[in-house]
Amino acid sequence: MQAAQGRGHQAGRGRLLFMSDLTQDRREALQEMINIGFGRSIASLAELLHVHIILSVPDVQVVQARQLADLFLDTFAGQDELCLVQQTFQGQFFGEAVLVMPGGAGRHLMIMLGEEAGFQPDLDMGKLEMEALLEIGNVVIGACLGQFADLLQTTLSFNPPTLTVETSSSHQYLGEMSAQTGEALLIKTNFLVQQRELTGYLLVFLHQKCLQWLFQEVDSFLERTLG
Amino acid sequence: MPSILIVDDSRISRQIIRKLLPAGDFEVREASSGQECLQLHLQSPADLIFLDLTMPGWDGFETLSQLKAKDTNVKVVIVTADIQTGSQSKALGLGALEVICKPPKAEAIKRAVDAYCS
Ligand SMILES: [Mg+2]
Repeated sequence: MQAAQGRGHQAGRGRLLFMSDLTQDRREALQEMINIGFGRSIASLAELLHVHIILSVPDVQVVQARQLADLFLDTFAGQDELCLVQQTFQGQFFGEAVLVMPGGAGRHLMIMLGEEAGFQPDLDMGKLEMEALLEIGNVVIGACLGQFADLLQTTLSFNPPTLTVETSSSHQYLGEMSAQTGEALLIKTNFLVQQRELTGYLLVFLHQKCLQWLFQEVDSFLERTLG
Repeated sequence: MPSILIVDDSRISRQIIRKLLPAGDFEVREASSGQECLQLHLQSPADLIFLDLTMPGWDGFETLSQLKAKDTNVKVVIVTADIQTGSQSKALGLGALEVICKPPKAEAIKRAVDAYCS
């Protein structure tokens, strides 16, 4: 940390993050913390939908913001339509979480939720699908990052989720991402609802400006738990 | 000396469990995958295995089934971030003794060691 700070590339609250700052220990600690957070999300989701869900091992990497769009396209290659629930969060660390599901996920979720919530499928389908996606996004993102913040001994506030439907012809969200500069911490994890063959990905982008704080707290977490 | 085997793909998680073990003379081994766990257990049976569920390759369920197939008396306690009720009952159904949610608390690890490893 000290050596990196000494490079003094950037003034103010943040500084340029270097790849070398994400040490193996920090990467593994973040991976495990997100794993724990995501476990909580999935438990909430499983309870809400009355299904069993299979979790994957999360992947943590530092990426150039302008590479995000490419990484995104790689991850979701072959999908004609994607539903994205985005939610920004602030606190001592800040950024954006995106739950990505294939087109048509809204319908599956609406049916699963509807059986529980007594939705009337003959009502405005589009609107109900949207509501189902937003609700699921809110639950998954809130539970995961809430638990993650807990482990870092801090609290986040969340803005209301928004929904974007990305098609192969309209890349609204990807366009926005490509315009970003700097580095971001990308955490990627996914789940599978077996009964419905429904897969979702959770991407968490942590803003470069909070990474110094984050890495310090991860170091304290390691110190507390292993020290 | 009782022997404990800690199985998790996350090195940090293995270290956390190791750190939470109560004071005492144990032989502690670690495995980062289900396959490695089975291999180590067959080489020299562990008195107690702490096993993660979410792992690449064999997950905890598969690992538990493989262990049970070779050693019906194997004692396995699950330590997992997968806190779904369905996952807990599946693990218990496969013969796990109990399920501890991550992040594990010292008391839970100690209780398991005291109960199954003396
Ligand atoms: Mg794991």
